[in-house]
Amino acid sequence: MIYYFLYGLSFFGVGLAAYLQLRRGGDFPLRKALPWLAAFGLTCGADGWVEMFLNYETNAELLQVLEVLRVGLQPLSGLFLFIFGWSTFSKLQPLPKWMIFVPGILIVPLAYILTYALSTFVTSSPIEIPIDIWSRYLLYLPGSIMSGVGFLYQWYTQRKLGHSDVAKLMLGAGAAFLIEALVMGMVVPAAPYGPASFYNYDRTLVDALTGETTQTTTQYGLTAWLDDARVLDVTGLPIVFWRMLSALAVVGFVVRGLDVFETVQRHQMELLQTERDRAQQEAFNAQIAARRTAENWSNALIRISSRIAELEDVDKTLIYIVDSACQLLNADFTGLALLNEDSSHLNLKYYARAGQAALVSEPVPVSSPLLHQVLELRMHCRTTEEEPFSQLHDTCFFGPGTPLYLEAVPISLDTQAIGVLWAVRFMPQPFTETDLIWLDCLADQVVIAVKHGFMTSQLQTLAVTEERGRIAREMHDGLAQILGYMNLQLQTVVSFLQQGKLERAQEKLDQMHEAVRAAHADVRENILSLRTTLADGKEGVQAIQEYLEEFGVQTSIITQFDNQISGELDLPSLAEVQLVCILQEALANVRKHAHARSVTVSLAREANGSSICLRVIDDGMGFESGAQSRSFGLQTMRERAESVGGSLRVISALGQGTRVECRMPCLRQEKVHRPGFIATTGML
Amino acid sequence: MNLREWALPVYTILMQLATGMLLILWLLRSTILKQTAADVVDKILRKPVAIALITVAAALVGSHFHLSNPWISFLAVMNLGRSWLSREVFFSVLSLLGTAMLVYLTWVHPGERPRIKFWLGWAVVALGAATIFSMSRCYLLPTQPAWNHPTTMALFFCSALILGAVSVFTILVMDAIFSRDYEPDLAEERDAILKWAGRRLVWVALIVAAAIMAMNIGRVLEMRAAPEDAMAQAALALQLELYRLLFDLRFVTLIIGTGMFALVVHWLTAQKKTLDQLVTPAYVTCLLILMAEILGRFLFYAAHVRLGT
Repeated sequence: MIYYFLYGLSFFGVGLAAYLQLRRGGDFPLRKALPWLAAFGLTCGADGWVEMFLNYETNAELLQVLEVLRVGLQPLSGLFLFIFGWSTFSKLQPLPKWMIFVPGILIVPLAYILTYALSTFVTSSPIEIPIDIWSRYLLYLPGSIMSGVGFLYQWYTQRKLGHSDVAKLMLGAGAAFLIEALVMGMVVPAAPYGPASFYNYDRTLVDALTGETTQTTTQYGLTAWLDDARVLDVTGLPIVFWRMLSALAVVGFVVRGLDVFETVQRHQMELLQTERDRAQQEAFNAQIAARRTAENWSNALIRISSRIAELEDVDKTLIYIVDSACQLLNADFTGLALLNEDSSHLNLKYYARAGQAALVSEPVPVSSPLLHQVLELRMHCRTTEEEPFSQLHDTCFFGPGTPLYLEAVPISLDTQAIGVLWAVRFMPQPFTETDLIWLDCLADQVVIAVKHGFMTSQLQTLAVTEERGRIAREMHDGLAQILGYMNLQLQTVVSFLQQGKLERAQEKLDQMHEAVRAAHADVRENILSLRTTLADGKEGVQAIQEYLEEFGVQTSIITQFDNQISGELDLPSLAEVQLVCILQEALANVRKHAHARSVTVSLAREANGSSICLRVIDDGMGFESGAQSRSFGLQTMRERAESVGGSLRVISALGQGTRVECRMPCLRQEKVHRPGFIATTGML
Repeated sequence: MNLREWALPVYTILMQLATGMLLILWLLRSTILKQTAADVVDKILRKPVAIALITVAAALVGSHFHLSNPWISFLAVMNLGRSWLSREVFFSVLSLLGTAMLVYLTWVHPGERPRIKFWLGWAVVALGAATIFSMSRCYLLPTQPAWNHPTTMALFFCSALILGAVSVFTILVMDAIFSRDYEPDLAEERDAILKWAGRRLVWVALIVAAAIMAMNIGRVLEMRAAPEDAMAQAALALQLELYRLLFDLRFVTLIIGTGMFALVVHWLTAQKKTLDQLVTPAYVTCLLILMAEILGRFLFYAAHVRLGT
């Protein structure tokens, strides 16, 4: 009785453990199959307890009920085990394609077995015997074997995944199910039909092969070999005990295996989480680094643009570009080579290495075929590990170093390639595609700088020509006229002297003296104007200050300078020149026409900081407003102002002096501070 | 029936199954060769032919467990001139050899020697028919009134036909799925042949199933109509009393199996289900009809009453 109780208890334990495992949730293999294992365990446990009562119950009616229960429970539990086995077995993936024929081929033996099983129900043995036997052969045996194979497959997959603890338990579970297949599926009660009669009883198979008949001795006339009674004889323990042991092994291995699997899975989830956090941090850092790099590049490009806009020396700008490339690309050498005038040689002109950037004084020919290829084909080039390093010779100058990686871009002016910009690394770290894009941006800056250099040169030539023309005009209108006038006057004086008209001669000489004095003033003013330039590196405000002081001394007109600007004027260079010229023209007008005693020059930034305002106010005689349009000098001043985006306004009335206001747009707007908001707008 | 006696249903049913398969296959082959290239036909039919060979071999192996001693079973052919049993064994062995040659020709030389294949195939079918004929003659014994009846031979041939029809259809379904990846260029032809064959085979199965039931019921009525025949009454009692469960099950499985076969073919031709969805119903159909025939054969052997000693 105790064996049957424990047998029932152990299988009930299997069912309960599977059910509890199922209720815990989680995502583990065989989760979908677990309800069937639970159902099997519970029904099989119930079957064991029914068997227990059947052996010791004496009430006939209750016995009948128990018999019916057992007849129902045994195939039912077998069916649940079969479904569980199929569920685990179907996890075997991927099965070979030819496996589709296996069920088809198995149909024939299955049909025979089923028919044979049905035929045993019409024999003289009690109904529970064939039910017991066929439940075991047709349900327990294949169910346990499939479960065993399914768990062995789990052992294989978990071992491959490196979950050795889980794998061992799965192996144990597989082995436990296979043992269960033996004790639950193959050991059956004695009966006069097969297949137990083939392997359960001595010599039956031999009989079939030899055609002889052996004398047999059991209740059905057969000698037991592997039936319930034989197991008891051999082991001293009933088969129920071994079945109970197999059930305990199954529940132990399966439940423990699922537990460990869950632990491993949780641990892996934690590892994954940590890995994800680390990856996120790395991505964040990479994002910051990328942003910083982009900022560095942007700042460098802005600085280069500023230098170009400020008409800095082209060589200096190009050295700065090469140096920036070297630093920002983390390169060991960067070079800028340009074609010579007849485009016959590619010469290194600028280079940077080890924090040093310089202009190459003597032409250094560049013979690298790779760089020539970049120039001729106007293609971008970036070496990778796959390319031979021998191609990189003659790409690094002025020092030792073995170039390992190179990137190069052509410098194209309009449609013609004029040079190559390249960077070289000695360290084993190839340039990225982004590096190549940045280098190309710098190449564009090189092109802009070179173009600006050409334009500046042309402008300077133009300015010199214009200035010479202006001086020629001044001499023609001033000195030449006066000298012509003096020549005529001298002839007149000579004539008066020959005629003895001394008074008239004296009168003419006085006029000539006055004319010479006026001419002298003009010449001195012109000399002052010519001296007052910005070419000496003077600031605009300083030049104005000095000019005003000199003007006051020369003309004896009281001058006042009201400068309200601190620091630089923030005007483009050309605008600054035009502003000084407009001031000179205005003061010349004051000296020549206004008959003023004093003049006030003020320089102020407009309220919104977007422009500079120059005011020249005198206390002279003034003029009618209609005279403005006829004044060639005022017209010139207006044109000068408008040529750089500025404006000119003249306010005057007879006897009330003159007020000239000139406004020039600033190079950049001042930062406007507002509460909680800092805006920077640009006008580059 | 003890276990060793089950060798008889194994042998007879499997031989009839193999013969029925080859008959259906060669009927199909002869018809579809008019529209389809010979090599394509060979490729489509070679796996069912190979399965027929395995079936014949299994039948012969199974038969050995019934003979007194498997190692001297070849002596069974010694009485070829006067024993139907010797002739049965003789024709069975010839069927095996002929089927093996067919397998060789269709697998190794697809599309070649069509005339040889044609005549060899029909010869194998004829050998199978001769085997079934000899087999049935073995049971037409005056001492066995239950067997000694024209329906014995008719039922044997009917078994061959219905088993052949259902199994060929099931194998073609399996092969169509299996070969989808290996011979994708033949997928359309396979599909067309499967539908064409299914529509005809289902009628074969329905008619033969009706004939089987009619013959069995007729035989029962015939025995009932002869209350004075003690042998007939004894056999009837065995069938309708001791083996009633199996007797009823035999008809139930036959009816359900044939009905399912018709349903599967309808699903296929009406394209209501994919081939993958049809595999399991096709398996079940085949299993049910095979079980029906095995049950019928079991009853045939179990319900006979020997006259005399």
